Amino acid sequence: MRRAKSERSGDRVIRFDRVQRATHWATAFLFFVLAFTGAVLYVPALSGAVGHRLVIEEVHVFAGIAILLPLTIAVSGPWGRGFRRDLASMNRFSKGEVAWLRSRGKRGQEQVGKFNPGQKLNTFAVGALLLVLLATGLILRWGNFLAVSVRTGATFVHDWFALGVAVLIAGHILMAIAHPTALRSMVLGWVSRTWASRHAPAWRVPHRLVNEAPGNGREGRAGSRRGGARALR
Amino acid sequence: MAGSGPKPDDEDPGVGMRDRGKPLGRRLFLTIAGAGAFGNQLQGAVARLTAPIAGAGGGGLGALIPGAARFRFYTVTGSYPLVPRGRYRLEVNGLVDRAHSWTYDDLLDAPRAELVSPFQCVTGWRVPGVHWAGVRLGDLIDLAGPRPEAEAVEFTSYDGAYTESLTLEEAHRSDVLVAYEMLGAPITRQHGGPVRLYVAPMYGYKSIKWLKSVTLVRKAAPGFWEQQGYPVQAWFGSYS
Repeated sequence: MRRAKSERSGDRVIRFDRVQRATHWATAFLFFVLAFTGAVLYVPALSGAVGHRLVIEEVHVFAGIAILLPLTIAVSGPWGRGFRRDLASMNRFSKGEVAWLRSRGKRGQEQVGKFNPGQKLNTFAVGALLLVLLATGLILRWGNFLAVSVRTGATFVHDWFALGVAVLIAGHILMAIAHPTALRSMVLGWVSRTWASRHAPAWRVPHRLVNEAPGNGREGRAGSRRGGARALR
Repeated sequence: MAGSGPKPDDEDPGVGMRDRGKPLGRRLFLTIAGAGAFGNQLQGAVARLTAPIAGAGGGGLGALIPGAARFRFYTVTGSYPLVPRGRYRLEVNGLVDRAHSWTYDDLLDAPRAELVSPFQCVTGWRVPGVHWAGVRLGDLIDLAGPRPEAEAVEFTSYDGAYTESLTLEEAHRSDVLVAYEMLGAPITRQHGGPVRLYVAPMYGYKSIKWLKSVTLVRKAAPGFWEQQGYPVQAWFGSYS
């Protein structure tokens, strides 16, 4: 109760703004549709139990085309500033972060920012896998003018990459269950300042009181411009 | 696969990490995208490695390994039709002098034809070297005595939805079978048993499953998959 009160009184830090959360859950929903319909198309026992192949196929294709749309929309407008800033911070890895990766999280903790190096790599891996799945999926659906060998190859790559992304997402869900505070931040948006300093010491969050901010990254404006941006790196 | 990592946000010059550290994110992204573009080169190796555990029949966990040469089971209705061999009938009718209803045992007693030939799906998967046995479709048609005006053959399936067709000339090819065996055993329910068509030189959708009737007509109506946009002429390597 006391803790909740202190959090409510302003010791909260926005980890994911509204745009990011909406994007996450829209993408997650589409992912589950894809995983289910994909399994029905792929696993013989499910194909027989569910049947209706054409309907399942249409839903799968539709969801597959749609899955990158939430992210695309989220990062392409003025509402996506916070999102873009987070994404831009994910590409580069400092020496400390490389050390963190090499030691599997044992060293370099003080250099871990808003997202740890594992999360950062995972982001690019899932993004690339989804893009390849989209490309090969389009070939499977509309690539009938292509040579048989190309379509056979696309089927092969699509199947393996689907397995790959399923493994990564399963790991992601397990990590979320193991870290309820992080999961909550994807639902409600915020984490406590204490949590942030413990799990993301290099994430320099602004000292200004942070309330539920509109999803435009405005929460990063505290202090000097440079300092504010660094805060959310 | 022209992918690139997220671009720095021009409106936000304050990203501290931009000029420091290694761009491992982008490297990983490009590596995976490249693997997507060229990963099909591994197909042969995967098919060879998984062959001992996969089993072309499509059953078993090994067959779930992507790239294993195995069948995928399609059904366009709610389930696989169940037609017991004892109650199976194949109607040959339409523009013929002697319409006939074949039982499963009748087909077994008819001259047997065998061939080993791949099953190639139009969507890209392929099972090489499948053994097939049955009766030549041309023999069944000739026994029924087609009338001169007959030019095509329509097929229906026990699933009530699947239909297909061939020209009379195609139907007389020696590699077009009314098949009751595949992979060295009676055709299973999932594979379209007890009796299915096998049209060796064409994409798999031509090989109608749970074959119910063979009807000679003047001109064939488009079949089920052809109504979904697939061509009536389905020779391998061709699409239009």
